[in-house]
Amino acid sequence: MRTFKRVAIPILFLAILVGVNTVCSYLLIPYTFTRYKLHTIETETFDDLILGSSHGATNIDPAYVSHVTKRSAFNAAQGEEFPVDSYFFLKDAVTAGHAPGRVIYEFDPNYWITAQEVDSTFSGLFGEMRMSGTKIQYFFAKMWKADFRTFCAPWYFYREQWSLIPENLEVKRSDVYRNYGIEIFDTDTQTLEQDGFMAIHPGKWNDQIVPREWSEAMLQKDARKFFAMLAEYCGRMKIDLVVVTTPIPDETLRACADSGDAVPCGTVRFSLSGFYVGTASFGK
Amino acid sequence: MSFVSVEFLAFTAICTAGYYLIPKRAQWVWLLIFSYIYYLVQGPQYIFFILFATAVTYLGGLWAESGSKAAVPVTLLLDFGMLAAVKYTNFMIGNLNGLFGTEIREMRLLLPLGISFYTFQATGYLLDVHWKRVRAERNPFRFALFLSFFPQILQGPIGRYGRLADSLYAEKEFDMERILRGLYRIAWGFFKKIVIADNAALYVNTIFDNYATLRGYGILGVLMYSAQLYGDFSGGIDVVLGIAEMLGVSLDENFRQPYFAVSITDFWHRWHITLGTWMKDYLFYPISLSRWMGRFGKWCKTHMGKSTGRAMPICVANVIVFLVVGVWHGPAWHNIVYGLYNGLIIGISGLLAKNYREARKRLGIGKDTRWFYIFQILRTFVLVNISWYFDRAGSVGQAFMMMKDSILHFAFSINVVDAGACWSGSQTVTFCAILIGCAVLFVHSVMEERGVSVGEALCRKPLPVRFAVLLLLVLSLVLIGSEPLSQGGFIYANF
Repeated sequence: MRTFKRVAIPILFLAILVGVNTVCSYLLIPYTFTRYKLHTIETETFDDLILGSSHGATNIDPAYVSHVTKRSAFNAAQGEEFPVDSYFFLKDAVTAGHAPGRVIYEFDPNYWITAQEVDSTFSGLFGEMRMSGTKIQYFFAKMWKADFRTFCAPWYFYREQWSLIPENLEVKRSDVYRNYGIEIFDTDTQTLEQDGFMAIHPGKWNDQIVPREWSEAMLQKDARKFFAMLAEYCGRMKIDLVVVTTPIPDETLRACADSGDAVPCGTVRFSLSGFYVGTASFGK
Repeated sequence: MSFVSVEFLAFTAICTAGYYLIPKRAQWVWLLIFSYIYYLVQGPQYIFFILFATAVTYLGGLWAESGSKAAVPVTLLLDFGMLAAVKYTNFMIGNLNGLFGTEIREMRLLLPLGISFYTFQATGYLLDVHWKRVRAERNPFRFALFLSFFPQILQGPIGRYGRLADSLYAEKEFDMERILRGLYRIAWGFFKKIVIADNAALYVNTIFDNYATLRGYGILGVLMYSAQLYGDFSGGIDVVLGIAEMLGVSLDENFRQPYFAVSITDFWHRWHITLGTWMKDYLFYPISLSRWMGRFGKWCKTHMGKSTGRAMPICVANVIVFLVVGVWHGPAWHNIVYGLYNGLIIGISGLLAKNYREARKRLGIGKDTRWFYIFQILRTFVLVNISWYFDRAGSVGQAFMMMKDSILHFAFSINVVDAGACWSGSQTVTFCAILIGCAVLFVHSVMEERGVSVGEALCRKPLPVRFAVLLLLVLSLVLIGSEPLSQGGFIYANF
């Protein structure tokens, strides 16, 4: 009996810990479009897979790309997607049997000169990936050196959002969640489209960004390393790699510098859309 | 490899599991391998320094045991020379440039992690061998483990060979009770670090880094620093002691409710105890018992009277010791002033001890007068907090300016910055988390101060109670712990 107790109580302790953790994760972590995007690239094959940051997500319209190139395209870019994430997203798609013919990598200099912040997106990008060998590699590349709570209890990023539990519960028990639906992401400021494009509604966006000047000295070792791995992997898997960038037009920067204002986010994104797809020699 | 990383927890779990699975006679070799892996992961470039200290001190110990007079000075010169070269060269260059207007370029020097700790541990061993307190270790690999034992290498406690060696090299059986005690200690350490220190750090960094704009918040800043420093350092030490406990290794305690100290001397008997005892044994006694100090004492007795003359050499020795403590804390003038401040208070208190005793007698304050005991604790807490201004500020000037503004422009608010300016969560939640953490720590400290060992008392409780406490501690890390913005760095790991 004594031995039984000594074994049972630690197991019970672990079970309670895991149980509390699972319940809190379910209640607090909301449904994000990362789940939709990862599910799509794990289950469908595209000719062009767009990877990159939020600029890529909101400025490269796969519908337009398809229209120009006559190839299918999906935009898997998203905010806080650093080169390490892009590399493993591609690998995840390939190992799931859905290798794209070409990767369009949106290069955002800001993500190459800043370290990845440990926040809800940090663990979210990892958490939504299906269990696979790639995920284990992703774990060692990203979570291994992170605070243990980031991996063991990612819900703690949402611990001040107890009031959203009913909403989260409703969503998670709905068909939208079960079927990886996207209607829920349609808001006043943005609309997620089936092809992964995040359409920003002009005039509704209040965020401001302050562009930072690029400096070679600020280059993050990890960004360079994982982009090199991405390029090498594309080469090995015979996937074409196109790197594009979404610079802030000089006139916008000049106008803001003259007026002393920060660069308005919505304007930049909107103007970039035109600049990006309209004038780039896409696909060459 | 941060203590709060997944990597470190996995590393510790694998090390502990393997430790009890391999043949017992190989257990210390296992620890040595893991200690060097740990150090290599911190940065392979640092390995040369610890290997150098190990080789020099190992050979120096054997040489000292043979009776050579040159062994100790040569080995000390090499050990401290390396520490001085990497840690203080640029400080010296900066001061020379400032004094003489020269333009000597600062060097790009590596500062190996934990070098201050293992250098002190190494030199303590050497002097113990020299004074025949311990026998020199014959096996260089065993000695290498003594200097590199992975939990303690980054922030101590500074081990003594005479006390540490036996438990480090002994063969151990698996003991579930010991593992649980270790786990509890680790969880308690994380509580202090993540709930108290890291939350308080948000206030400290905001106030000290923006002292010119956040004028008057100095008192809030320094109180938060009190909580941060204690939670950070003692929490880190708890994690170290917990891991050592799981491995069956007994390390010295480094803290004993320091904020319940009744004087600065008492504070240093409770704060960073292993540094204090190292200083006492290897610096204070050699200085105060030296021939020149004897002559100085005689001179003082002749010119200042018997009582002052007797206290004066101790006073001078204390000032020298704390000057070294200040220098040990880092190559900057504010650290030196921090050391001198402590040394002067202790020295002057020693000189005035007789007057204090007489004044208390006249006022009818007995040894057990409760209000006076509390007054002494509060007085010491204030004095310690003044010293924290020097410790945390970026310069002596900043420390003085913050002290001045703390009084002349006193301000207090738990929302010290505009919401969201540099805080991802709510400042009210952060403040409440710190209060809860400090309240728990206070109760724990009162119990310990009254002679109740909380850890041992908990071990006597039924298993479900112990696991419930462990569960609460773990959940508190997630519920009220700080967000991992600082990546879990420890303040004393930079030494």
